[in-house]
Amino acid sequence: MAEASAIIDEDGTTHEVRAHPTADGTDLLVPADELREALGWELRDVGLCRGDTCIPTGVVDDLVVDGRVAVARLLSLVDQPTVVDAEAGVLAVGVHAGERSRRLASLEAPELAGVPTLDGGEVALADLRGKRKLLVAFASW
Amino acid sequence: MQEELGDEGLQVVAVAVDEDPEEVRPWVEEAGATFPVLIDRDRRIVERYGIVNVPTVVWIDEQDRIVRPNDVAFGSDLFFDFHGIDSTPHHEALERWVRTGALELTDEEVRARQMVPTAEEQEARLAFRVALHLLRTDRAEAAAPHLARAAELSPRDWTIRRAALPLTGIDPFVSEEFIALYEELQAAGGEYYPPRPAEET
Repeated sequence: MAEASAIIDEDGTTHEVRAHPTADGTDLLVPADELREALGWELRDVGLCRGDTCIPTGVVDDLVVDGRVAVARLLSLVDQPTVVDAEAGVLAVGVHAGERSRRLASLEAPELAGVPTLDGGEVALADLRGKRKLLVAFASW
Repeated sequence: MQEELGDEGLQVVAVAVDEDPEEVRPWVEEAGATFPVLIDRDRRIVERYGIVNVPTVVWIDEQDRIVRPNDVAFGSDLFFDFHGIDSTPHHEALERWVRTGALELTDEEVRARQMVPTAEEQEARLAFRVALHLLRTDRAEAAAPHLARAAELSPRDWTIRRAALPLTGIDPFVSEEFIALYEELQAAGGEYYPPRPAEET
């Protein structure tokens, strides 16, 4: 019953998972081990945990069903914005606006790594340390 | 610009907010660019930097600190007639910074001028990423409501609204759809490019 589905993490990386929609069609149920691979949430005795954050699964109904996690539900509990198309099997999770704003206000330049360059390489901020940098976002459109 | 000021320590980093590197390559080769050109097809850089339109520039100093925020400015006067914004003030300020280290904005002023996202704008980026995934997996029909939702949530985010046009096979420059989009924005009292804060000398 589980179908090839996609979880797009907060940095925009797409992870393939086997998932199926919840009965009401509003969420995706993903096996716990695949969820751990995709988003780092781990099913432990105390609950669903990521880093120092744990959600006690015993007190939240229908969060974990037969070893599968209702992902949008989980993410709403930790206040992360999510868009899910259960029927199409796609879920995207993002950075909370307040968190993104806070990081930008720190004036620390966000990382450039993880995005390919035109010649197939990659550039990290550290590669350009010590230079004055002009970042220019443009498009063909 | 990289040629001119590169010898004086400026490093240009271009970020193409595009789906296909081959759309970008001709422009880059014609410009003879020697700087890195990142292809931000998964919209990572624009989300990290809070970029909602192009062209946008950000100045980052030697210690990787933002010293001029995400702002609209131009490397040349190529689109002057269309946008009515002169690129000269930016170019002169850039030269000053590169040559002397002089900055026009304090950290507080940079913060005050930064574009930071709202909850709706963050959600719009997600709806757009879902749409992109569906388009890439040949499910354009399923993508459509997510594109519409993204545009609805973040009408000023041109990386979403305008990018959505060619993704659904519509020419962004000359199509009726684009003209309708532009007229809509004008009618709403907005400007095609967000107004720049007053230039400080």
